[in-house]
Amino acid sequence: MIVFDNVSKQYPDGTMGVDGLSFTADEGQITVLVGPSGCGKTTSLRMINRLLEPTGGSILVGDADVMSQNVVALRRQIGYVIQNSGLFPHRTVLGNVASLPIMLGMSRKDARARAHELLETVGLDASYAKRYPWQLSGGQQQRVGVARALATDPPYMLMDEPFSAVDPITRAQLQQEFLRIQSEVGKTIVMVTHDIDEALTLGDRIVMLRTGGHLAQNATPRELLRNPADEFVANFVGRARGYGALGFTSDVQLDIQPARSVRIGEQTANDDEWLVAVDDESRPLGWLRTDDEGIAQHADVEHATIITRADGTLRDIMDAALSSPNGRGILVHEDGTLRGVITLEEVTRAIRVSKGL
Amino acid sequence: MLDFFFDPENWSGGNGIPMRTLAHLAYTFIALGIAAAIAVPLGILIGVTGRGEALIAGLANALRALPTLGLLILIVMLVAPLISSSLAFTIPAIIVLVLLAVPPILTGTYSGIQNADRNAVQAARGMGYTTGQILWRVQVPMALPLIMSGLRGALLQVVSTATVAAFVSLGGLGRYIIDGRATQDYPQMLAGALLVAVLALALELLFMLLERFVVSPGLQRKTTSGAALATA
Ligand SMILES: Nc1ncnc2c1ncn2[C@@H]1O[C@H](COP(=O)(O)OP(=O)(O)OP(=O)(O)O)[C@@H](O)[C@H]1O
Ligand SMILES: [Mg+2]
Repeated sequence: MIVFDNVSKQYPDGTMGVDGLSFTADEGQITVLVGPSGCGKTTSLRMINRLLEPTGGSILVGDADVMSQNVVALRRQIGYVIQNSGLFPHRTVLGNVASLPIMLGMSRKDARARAHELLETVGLDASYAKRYPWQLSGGQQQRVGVARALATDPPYMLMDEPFSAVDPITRAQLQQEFLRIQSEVGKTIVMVTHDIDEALTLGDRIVMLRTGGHLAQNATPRELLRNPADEFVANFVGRARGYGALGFTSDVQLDIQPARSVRIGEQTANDDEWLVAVDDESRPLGWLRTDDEGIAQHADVEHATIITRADGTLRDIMDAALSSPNGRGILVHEDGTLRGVITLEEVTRAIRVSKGL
Repeated sequence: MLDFFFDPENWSGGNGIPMRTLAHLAYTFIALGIAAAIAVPLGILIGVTGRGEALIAGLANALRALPTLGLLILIVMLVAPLISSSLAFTIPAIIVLVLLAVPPILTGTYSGIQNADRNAVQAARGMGYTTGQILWRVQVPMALPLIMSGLRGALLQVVSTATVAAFVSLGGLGRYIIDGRATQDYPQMLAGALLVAVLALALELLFMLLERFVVSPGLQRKTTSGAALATA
């Protein structure tokens, strides 16, 4: 657990980096600090591992005030990922990940084995291990940065815009991988970003700051979308409040209709109806209209259709209906087998219900 | 001049080319060693603390501007009365060479430390490296390319300037130049100059090889071909 208790940081030139900030980052959760440029996110993060010292209030890591702990010992239980990866340019990828464990006394052999494992965890092929940082793309460097921070298996992690150096698609991939890793390792994480979508995707809790280093709102992503504390928060959350908010709604009763389906290769009744094409395991492939002979062909399936889980969010279900060639979304069970279909009208009804309209 | 090189007399004995080359190398490396022992730690200190930089830059420039020969004679006059033996000449020669070698090494070292990737240093500090561990495992390795090029610059300066030792009746390849001039033996002078140039070139090559060994390939992309590394 990391606790901020009325923390302030005034820089020597008088600038208030952070002003009276209090929040708690719970054990095993991802707490995201978000806000506009210059609002004090990095300042807050760097006070946790004492790269900066607070000028007021106190920060607890575990049960003790950071200022009362040995600074090196404190830092060694906190993994640190900085924005531009900060890799050691003179070390190979493997060397970067293995160097801290080796320095702390792990045998070279064990440290390398662990480094290889971690590189795999963050999705880097073994062939990258011998490269030097300048031979990697920005996204690959950031992955190595994450692997390096995990190398000593510290209970805490601080991450300053860890996925900023990549394009939106790679970023989304990294975020999903990161969530998968976190579900395995369960670290207590404080992450900084200025991207509200990233905060909403990754955060168990969002601490939003406003310029001047003040707390604007401390809430779960869902609360933040539903009840922004004021105009500033509402504006910052922006577009994400509308359509994006549907991504947090999943507990609505839906009227799912049975679907007419056909296995690929089978004969169908030739009545020019849309059918759900399924494979041998009853997993849907997309919508299909039969050809003249009435045989269901792979080539006739509309692959552009989005298929999603019946217990998914309204956002995913609406995407399924909108991307369908006939206004009906294909829904599946947890195991990927066909559950049924849902009409666009039913989706809008569910949205109204979820909003209490 | 060819006659000079083909004369077997010139290849043996205390005044032969091998011995004089050895003496020349000895002056060079003693001076370089002393200069490095002074300038590398001092450069690290300045680089890490960021203090004394202006002072050092001024001092380095002043040292560069000193007339080598005048300085040598001055120091001989100062030192000679204090020491009797051939050291009275050797020590001043070494001092002059050291003074010459210090500035490039000092500049290379402190700018190497200062220009070391700040993010990497910051990351190391945040991960719990102690100050000493940051210095030896992060800053110095990253500074090595510039430290090495400072050393190389110093080496070239010293090896060519070591000829001045001959002015104060010491050995080394400079003797051929001085003696040749005294006896108006121009081929001998020319041969001496050529030998110094060849020696400098050979050392330069050796040093470049050494750099390949001690500097991490991760830091050599500006000097070597990236393709060769990528396929390695
Ligand atoms: N060393 C410093 N001296 C004086 N003021 C500083 C210093 N570092 C940061 N500041 C100021 O403190 C405030 C907060 O800076 P901080 O770096 O924490 O912002 P941030 O939220 O991380 O912004 P960004 O999203 O741009 O990274 C800013 O107004 C900044 O100008
Ligand atoms: Mg920042």
